[in-house]
Amino acid sequence: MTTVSVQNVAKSFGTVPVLRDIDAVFPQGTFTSLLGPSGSGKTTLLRIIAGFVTPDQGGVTIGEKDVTGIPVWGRNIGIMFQSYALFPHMTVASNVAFGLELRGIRGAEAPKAVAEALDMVHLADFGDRMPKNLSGGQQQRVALARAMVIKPSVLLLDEPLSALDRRLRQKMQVELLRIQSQTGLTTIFVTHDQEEALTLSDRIAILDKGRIVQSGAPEEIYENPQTRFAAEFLGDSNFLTGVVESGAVRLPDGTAIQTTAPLPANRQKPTLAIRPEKMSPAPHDGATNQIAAKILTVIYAGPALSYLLQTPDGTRLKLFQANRDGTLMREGETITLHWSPAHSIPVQD
Amino acid sequence: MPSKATPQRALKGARILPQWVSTTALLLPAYGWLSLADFLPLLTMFLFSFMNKTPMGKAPIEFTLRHYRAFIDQPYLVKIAANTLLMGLWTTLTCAVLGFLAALALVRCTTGARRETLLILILLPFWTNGLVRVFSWTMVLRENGFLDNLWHWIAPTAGSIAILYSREAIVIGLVHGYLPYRIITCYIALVTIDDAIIGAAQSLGARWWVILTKILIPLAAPGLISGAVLTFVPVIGSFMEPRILGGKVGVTMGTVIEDQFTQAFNWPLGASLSFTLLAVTLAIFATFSGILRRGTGGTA
Amino acid sequence: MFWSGSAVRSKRNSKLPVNFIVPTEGAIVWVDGLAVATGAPNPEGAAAFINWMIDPKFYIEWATKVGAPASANSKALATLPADDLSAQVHKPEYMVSKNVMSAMPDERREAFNNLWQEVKAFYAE
Repeated sequence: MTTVSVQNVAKSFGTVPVLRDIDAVFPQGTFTSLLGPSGSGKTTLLRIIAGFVTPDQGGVTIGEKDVTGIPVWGRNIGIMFQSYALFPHMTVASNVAFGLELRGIRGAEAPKAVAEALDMVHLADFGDRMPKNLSGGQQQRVALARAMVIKPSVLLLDEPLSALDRRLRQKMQVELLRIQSQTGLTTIFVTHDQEEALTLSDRIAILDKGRIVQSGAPEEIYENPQTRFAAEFLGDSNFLTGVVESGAVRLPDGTAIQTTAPLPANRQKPTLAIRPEKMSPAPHDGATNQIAAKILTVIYAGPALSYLLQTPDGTRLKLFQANRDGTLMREGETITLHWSPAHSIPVQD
Repeated sequence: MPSKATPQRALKGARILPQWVSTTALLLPAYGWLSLADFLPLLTMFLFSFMNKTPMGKAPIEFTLRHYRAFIDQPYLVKIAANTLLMGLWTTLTCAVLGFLAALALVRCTTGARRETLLILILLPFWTNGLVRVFSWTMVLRENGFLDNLWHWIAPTAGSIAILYSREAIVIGLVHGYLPYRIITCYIALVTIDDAIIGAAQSLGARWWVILTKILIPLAAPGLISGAVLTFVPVIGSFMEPRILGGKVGVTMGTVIEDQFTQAFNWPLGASLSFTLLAVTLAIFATFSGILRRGTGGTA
Repeated sequence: MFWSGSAVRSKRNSKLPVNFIVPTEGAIVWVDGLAVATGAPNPEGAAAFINWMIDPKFYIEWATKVGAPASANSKALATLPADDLSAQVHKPEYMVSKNVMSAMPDERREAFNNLWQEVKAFYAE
């Protein structure tokens, strides 16, 4: 089992910097998601770890070994791509056996390993099929078996589930988690899908404009986003900006917002992030962290209700509520929102 | 209201037209033209090949199989045919290697505008007249030609390397003429291969020669075969390059057949030789593509 | 090997040290003819052109100023200078060994062409 680390990596394509000063550790046996919008550099980082891209500076270590100068074929990695990337001219079994052959594993040992790998992904009877005769999900499972059969040091996943439909994707997520936890394989997963990242990961690293803006356990990042970008990209957030005044943040309309987090000095102007599901409609009783807002839109989404609101000074807010008794509030109604001081999180812009 | 009902009925009528009608209508122009431009002349020539003399003038025409015995009656033709097939083989092989490598470089090492420029440069020879292209090689390959002078400049004491009027010169000229076809067919075959497939192979431990032999060549096989057909067939029928670059040694089935039509006025013999050559070519390709399909695992 | 007309031009115009001889093995001879096609649109014009072409005056001018092939017109030949090469073609000893080209039966032409093809194939090796 192997820890993967990236030290001080930077990469530019031409004059466009794609990654700057990336330091990251992927502890052994963990499932880490690289989460970010397109252009954030997450795929380039994965390709640098795989060896497809040479960094302009910095290095990559897999286990004890500095692999910076080692080409892809010498790194012993397993990769899954969004496009499945099966060899279309080979049978399923030959696809899986490809890496074994290159490792000199032949004779009785190879078919046994191939059968085990196919069995692991529930495709034991599919060895003689050609890839084009398989469904997308089946092809992706063959790709997983092919990557796992060589007993790689690290499993690299480049948006492997993005091409699958929702139901199949959820099924594959469960499969992937089961196999990953069974093998204890260090896994790095590139995705732009925050829900997928939250479901699968032990750790998440959020990338923006070539930098890792925050990394940690999913709940750690979700409950305590450090930047506005992290708060917005992982989950949804409301933002309120005011001036620090005697331990609270005073909004332009005079409302004082309390937080349990440490605030900057007086007269500074921090931004507070409040998760929409942490707010609740409350009667106007003079308690702290209350704000009046008019309901603009009600979105009925089955188990959840989502409201778009506007405060008198024009700030837009979102409110999510579990659907217990159906829609209780109507568009045009003005309500008071309330939340606990612990849920006002100061974030950097 | 009939004025409203009529277009509606017409629309319904159009919908229930059986599909084969529209399919036939779409295919008819292409196949009509093909049969007119391809099939009809070929059929005429096939008919000619059984006549005892060129059907012009008043002499009565008799039908005979005599011309199909040419290879037995004139055994020297066998030697010419063998030389011609060898010339076709060398040209096809040289084109295959150069074309595949050039296409690979285009696909793997270039992108965007640079790739487009290189593709246009590859097609540039097609913009010049074939005759000019071949004659320009005589300037390069002859004694005291461009290549020979360059060689004398590098190695003043060494002998001449002029190879004009040799089989090699013919192959050089033919390769020049047919290489663009090969580059394009290989390019089309290679450009459709997903980068991720090569990435996956690399991640499994494949080095470049494994990727070349186990992934790229098998996947590009259809392009390689169609490119081989596109080169081999016209090459063994060529007569301009052998005449101009081969001089005395430029005697091929192409020049023999052309002689029958333009000098000997023996169209039946020219036609029968053409069809014999066609049969041999088809037999070669039937065997060759069968072997290739089995060798690459057969994706059918 | 040379056409007789070219030999004349080489000697007279280019002052090359050449002479016209026919080897003892023989030479090939043919005669060009002029005719008017049936139904030609301008037979009078054609006849006038032919008359001009076969006029000894025209031939002498062609032979002495430019260099012409040997003529079959005896009147024209008689007026040529004695040293004119074209006249030498008609030397009696040459006339014996010459082969005059004529129409060939199909079978013989085919055999000839095949033989010629074989000769080329032999020297191509």
